Amino acid sequence: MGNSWRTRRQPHAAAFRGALWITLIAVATTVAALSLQHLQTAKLLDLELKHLVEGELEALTARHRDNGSARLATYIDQQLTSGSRRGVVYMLAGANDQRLAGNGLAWPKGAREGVVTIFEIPVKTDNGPRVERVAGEARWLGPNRRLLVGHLADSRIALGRKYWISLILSVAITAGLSLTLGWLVSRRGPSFITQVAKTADRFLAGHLDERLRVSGRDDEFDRLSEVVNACFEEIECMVGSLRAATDGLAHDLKTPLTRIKARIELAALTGQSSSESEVLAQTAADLDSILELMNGLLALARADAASAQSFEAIDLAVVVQDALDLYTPVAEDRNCRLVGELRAAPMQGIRALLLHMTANLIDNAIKHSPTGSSIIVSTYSQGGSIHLSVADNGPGIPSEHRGLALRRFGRLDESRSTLGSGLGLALVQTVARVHRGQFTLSDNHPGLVAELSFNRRAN
Amino acid sequence: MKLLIIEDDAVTAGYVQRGLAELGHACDHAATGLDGLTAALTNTYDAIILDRNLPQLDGLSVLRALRAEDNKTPVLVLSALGQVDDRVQGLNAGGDDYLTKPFSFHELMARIAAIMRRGGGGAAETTVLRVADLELDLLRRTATRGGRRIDLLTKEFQLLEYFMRHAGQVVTRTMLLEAAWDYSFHPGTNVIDVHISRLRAKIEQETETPLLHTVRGAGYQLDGQ
Repeated sequence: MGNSWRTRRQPHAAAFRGALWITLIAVATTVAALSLQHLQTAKLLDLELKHLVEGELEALTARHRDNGSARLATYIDQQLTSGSRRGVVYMLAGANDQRLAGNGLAWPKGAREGVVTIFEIPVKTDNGPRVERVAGEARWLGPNRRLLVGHLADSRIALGRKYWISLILSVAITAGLSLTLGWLVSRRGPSFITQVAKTADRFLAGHLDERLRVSGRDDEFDRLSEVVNACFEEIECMVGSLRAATDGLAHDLKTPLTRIKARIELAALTGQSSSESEVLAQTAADLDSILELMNGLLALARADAASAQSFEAIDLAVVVQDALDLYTPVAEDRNCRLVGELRAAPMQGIRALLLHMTANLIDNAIKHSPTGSSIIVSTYSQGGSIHLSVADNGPGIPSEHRGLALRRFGRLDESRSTLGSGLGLALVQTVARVHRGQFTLSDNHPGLVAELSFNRRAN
Repeated sequence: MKLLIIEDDAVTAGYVQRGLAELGHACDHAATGLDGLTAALTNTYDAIILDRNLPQLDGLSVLRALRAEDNKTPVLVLSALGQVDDRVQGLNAGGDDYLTKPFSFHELMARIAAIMRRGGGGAAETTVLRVADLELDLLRRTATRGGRRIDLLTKEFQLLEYFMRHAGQVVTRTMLLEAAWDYSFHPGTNVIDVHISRLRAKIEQETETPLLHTVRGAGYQLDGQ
């Protein structure tokens, strides 16, 4: 087996990628939220300023119309000196933009009529003239008379600066937090996968008892762990039974082969003196037992490969009746009574397999029944399930050995000298599995009850 | 009796040839499907033993070609493929019987004898079978021996009918199983033996001459002589 596919990159990459994505999303959200808020605030401020500026322009225009330029100029200067107009910039200009009144010292280039714009203008302050950024609007009052009303744009600029500062800060904090938290959160998935991969690697390396830890949080990870563990369990069980089956098969094949070999060698050694026909008959019998073993294995393999596609509607009671007909004389020969208590048991299944299964159960029961006892075979349907039971009064199987009895070549007699290939109950087990049924062995006080239950509809 | 075996394994073919020679039958051997088909079409044989896995032309194709030429020689298909489907395929292609490898020589001989009898022409449909003083009425489903009425269960009737149709021939346990039960599994020889011993007890009472004989190592034979 090549190992190249199992060398993996560091698993942190996936967690880091996950964290990056989370960060990207968080930062984008922050930028969008802040920008939207800033735009809304700026729009509100602009609107307020426009109202203020245009209101003032209207008032001053009205005053000019009523009282003339000279009175307006006096009024503007009065307003400025009274100190009630903080942050407001006025300028009344005459021909050639010559200043007539106001704290604006020179007509700014950027001022427009009908729209509030931001421009730079030298303004007279207590500390002498200073160039300020002002948001304002101009208006013609008449030929050679222009009026400018504006407001210091400090707060507007401050708002913009604040926006940028808070944007940078927020992005930095969001990025830091989401990277950390995202990495912590994203790590769970990849670290789980790493754990699974490591466990599976060890399992593949031959540690068949490796299992995944189940956290108990009852989430998807736990569910996956349980499924993977169930697979591991099944594989371990199958490997175990395969080993046992191989050992059993080797033993069961070797016994008759050894006998044949010894018999032939002995015949060669003693020349023609030993009874030739007896040697041949015994050898033929040994070969028959090998062939029987092979047929048993093939039947088991075929049963294993059977699928629900070949199911048909059958009555299990009819199948069991056939098996009873076949075995009743055999039971009577051994002074046992084979009693059928058969009630209709319709189900979906493969007739040949179910017949073989029933025959094996009855055969087993007859083999182990004491003289004069009864074997009760019953079928019935209860709710959605179909039942078959074969009960004998033989020695039974101790509960601790029942699992072994179902294994291939699992025989309770260690020396393997008793009759049977050890495949009988294994076939029953396999047929039950193919039909999605349950096969259980229990105590009949005394004896053994073999019980099978199937779903009426197997799918 | 002259037979043809078409089989690519020389050892198996040689074994069958020698065995048939012991019994006084001549047997030709062809190692490939093409040679076998040529031999079967140019010579006249009483029966053909045909393996399924053959070089050049597989067994079933040989069989189909043979039947297409209207050759009615009884054919026993021999194969390692023993599932029900394989058997049905072999019989559908025109085989008269089907035997799974590994087989016993007795089984092979019993089956060849059976298919040759069948090919010989039992065309007239009989309703009453007779062996010595044993009589089986197929229409009324009754059995009598020398006027004594014998009550038979369904399976016992089927077994007896098979024996009487093959009177004088060796019938193996596998043949009986296929005839009466049609099972895809082999429930062990002792099960068949028990059924036969019951049948025998019914048709042979203490004072009557034995009819149903056990042939050691092979099976049973119903014989009135």
